Amino acid sequence: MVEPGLIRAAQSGDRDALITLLREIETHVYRTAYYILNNEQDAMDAAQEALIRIYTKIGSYEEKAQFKTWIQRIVTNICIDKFRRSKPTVSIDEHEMVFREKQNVEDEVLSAYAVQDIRNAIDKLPEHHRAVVVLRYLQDFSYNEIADSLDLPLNTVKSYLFRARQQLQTLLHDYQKGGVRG
Amino acid sequence: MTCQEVIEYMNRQLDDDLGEHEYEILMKHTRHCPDCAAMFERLKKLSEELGNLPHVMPKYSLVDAILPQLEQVVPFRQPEAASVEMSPAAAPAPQQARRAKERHQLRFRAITGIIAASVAAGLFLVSYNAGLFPSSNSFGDDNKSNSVAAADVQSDTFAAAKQFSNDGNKAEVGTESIEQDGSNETMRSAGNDDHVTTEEDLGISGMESGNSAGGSDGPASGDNSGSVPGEAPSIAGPNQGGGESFSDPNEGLVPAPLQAVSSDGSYIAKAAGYVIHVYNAGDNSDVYTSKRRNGKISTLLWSDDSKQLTYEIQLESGGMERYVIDMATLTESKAAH
Repeated sequence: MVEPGLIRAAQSGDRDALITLLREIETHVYRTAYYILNNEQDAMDAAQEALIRIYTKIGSYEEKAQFKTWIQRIVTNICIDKFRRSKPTVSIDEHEMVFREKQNVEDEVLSAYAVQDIRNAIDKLPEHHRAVVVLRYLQDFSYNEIADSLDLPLNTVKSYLFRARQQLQTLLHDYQKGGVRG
Repeated sequence: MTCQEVIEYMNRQLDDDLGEHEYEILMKHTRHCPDCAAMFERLKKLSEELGNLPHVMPKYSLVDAILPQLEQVVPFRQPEAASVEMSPAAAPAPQQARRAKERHQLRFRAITGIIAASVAAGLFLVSYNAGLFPSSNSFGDDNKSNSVAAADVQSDTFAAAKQFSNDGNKAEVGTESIEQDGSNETMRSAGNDDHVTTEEDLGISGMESGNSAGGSDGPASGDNSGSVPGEAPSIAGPNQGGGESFSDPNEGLVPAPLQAVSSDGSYIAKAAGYVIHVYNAGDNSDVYTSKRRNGKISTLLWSDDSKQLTYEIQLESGGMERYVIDMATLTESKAAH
């Protein structure tokens, strides 16, 4: 995503390189913030804060980590810490059974979920589950890259992602059935 | 295999994490389990839609929006990342014109500048160290403290250069080059200079430190020191005390006693409090003690022929007085600025 040479130049004090680097990553940073926070203005604020933090901390980045996981760690931390809202999220119960009722599979498969429904469903997930989903689908990260970004064990990443899918699937199914819309 | 275990396989399949054998197990199960088949369909659909979420872009450039803020913030740089950029910042253009000047004056000015630069670099090291640790600890939490610390360092450096130089222009040159570099590399070279400065020929070590600490007058000093190293006026800056004063940042803020060896090596002048003692370098006997002055002695400078010692007093009012001791008559007089 970002050339190693550009990163090194930025780290050695080349301010222009650092600004160029920030321009290259700003959309990625914003996208993560947007889907974690589900709010355009908060996403702008969080992304700007993340870019400033990347600007000031560029020297502390070490090449043993992937640069893209390093920046996603910064932006997810800001989203989770700074923009933590006391809003209700669904409880993710490990033993929740998924087959709650017989459904008409045909109907459901044919109709697509509305993007807004998906965003609202993501917004209902606990923050770390939300972050895992965002990194998996908006940044195309692997399990390991997600684990590095969020500083979580690999198995935790998998279980968060799997449970988040279950939960999203249930929520979206409810929306589609004309139930509670976000 | 339970349905719950199969759901994990479904998820891993969505992430391309299933081996061929595992995939067969999954498919075999879903063929005989309508619930799991339905679930798998829904999860696949969900995953596909999550993958198709709009790749939103910010309404305006976030970087442009924060540029003014970034101006206020000093990026934290890797300590070892600054190795290459000593030379570009060195040798500012105005220096070139001065080379045409009379050789004697050139050498005098060059050395003064180098000493000033290395003194400033040394003090910069000290003050930077003193400022760096608190600011780097609070890094990222408080951006303002960084820029404040940086501002302190700059003013310290400037004050230091002014204080220990008797050539205002040169002092500024030295300060400039250090501020431009503004890097730990500058510090490191200044640190190395300490070792060099403890060598016998302070004139030559001064040259070397000048070259490595920004090289304000690199070319000029190279000309002169190369041909007549022995004649180079020996001017000891306050960092002549060597490594100790730099090992402890707090201690380093108080300059080591100012002293200077005359060009021919026959006299040693030392500042002690508000007076200057001149000793015979051979037997360490007292030659002359200056009058007591009402300010801090900031510079000791021998003339090339070792017949005159010029010193500067920094008055508490902020002014500066310059005096010259004539070694032939052992008298001193106020010098014109």
